[in-house]
Amino acid sequence: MKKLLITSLLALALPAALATPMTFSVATDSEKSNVATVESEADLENFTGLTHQITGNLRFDPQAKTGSGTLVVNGASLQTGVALRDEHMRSKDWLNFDGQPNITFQISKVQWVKADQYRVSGTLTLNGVTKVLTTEAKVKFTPRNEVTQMIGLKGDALAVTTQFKLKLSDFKVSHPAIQAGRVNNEVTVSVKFLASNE
Amino acid sequence: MNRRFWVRVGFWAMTVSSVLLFVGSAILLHWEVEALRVIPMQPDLTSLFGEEVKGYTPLGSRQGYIVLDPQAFFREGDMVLLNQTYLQVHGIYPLQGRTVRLVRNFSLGLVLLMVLIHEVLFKPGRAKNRRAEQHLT
Repeated sequence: MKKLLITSLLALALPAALATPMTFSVATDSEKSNVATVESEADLENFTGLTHQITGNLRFDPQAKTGSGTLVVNGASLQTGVALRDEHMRSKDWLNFDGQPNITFQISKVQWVKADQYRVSGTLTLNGVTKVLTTEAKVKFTPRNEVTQMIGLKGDALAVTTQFKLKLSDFKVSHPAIQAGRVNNEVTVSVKFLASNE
Repeated sequence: MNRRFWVRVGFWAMTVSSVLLFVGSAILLHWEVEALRVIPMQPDLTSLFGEEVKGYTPLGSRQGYIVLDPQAFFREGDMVLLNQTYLQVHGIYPLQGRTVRLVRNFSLGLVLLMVLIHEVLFKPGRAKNRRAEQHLT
């Protein structure tokens, strides 16, 4: 009886013990699925900068529901649909992507909330300024199957979507148009991407 | 041609432009559609992102767009969606309702300013000329 109990406990504990965090790389081939946007409100027009250039590596444990990693969005590749505005946005007067092209999210803690919802904490670096950031994210793990193979992923898939707001002044972006209230100091950043562990 | 003539020409050119701008923007606003700009996704990808995530990636928040090509829009349930891929392929820049509304209000302000200028600067001058003509006859 004792032996049976120990065996049963071991059988239950074994998968958890064996579960180790897996390293996922952002699937850069999946251009259509990887999208980062930055939305800004202005007097004249709301504009949304869009890029598919997202890279990075994430460590995620689907059993323990924990993780960490680094995510990089190429800010210099953001396009709003107006070339001159993109140029202004990249300039030193605005987001300074000409000098510091990347928006980097260094993820240090991932906490499971419910279902596929997670609370993700870390630091965000923009314009050379690093700030602590905590946001909600939807993280969906899908073991390798027909669908993942069909879209060109070699291993398991990790689909991530998140959205958060940033104050430009926190990142030393202080254009006179922001100070005059013609452009909102707050921007909404949305990131959506697929990653694979092979 | 004296200076006064050119001032009058400038004044009327400005007035007519403002009226045309006002009428044009007011007409354009009839095409305004409240929509969410999106990039449609493959149905297979939707399943990977989870059931709650729809078959598209939203770009910014829902707002009024003016796009004269109705094929750029599609419906999903109650939502009207503006297809970013279609816009890109056809080289269409989606005008925003708020931009056109701002132009309409600005041009209306200009028209009113022109009427005011006309009443204050030109009308007294014309009345003075008429009185002078009557005096001569």
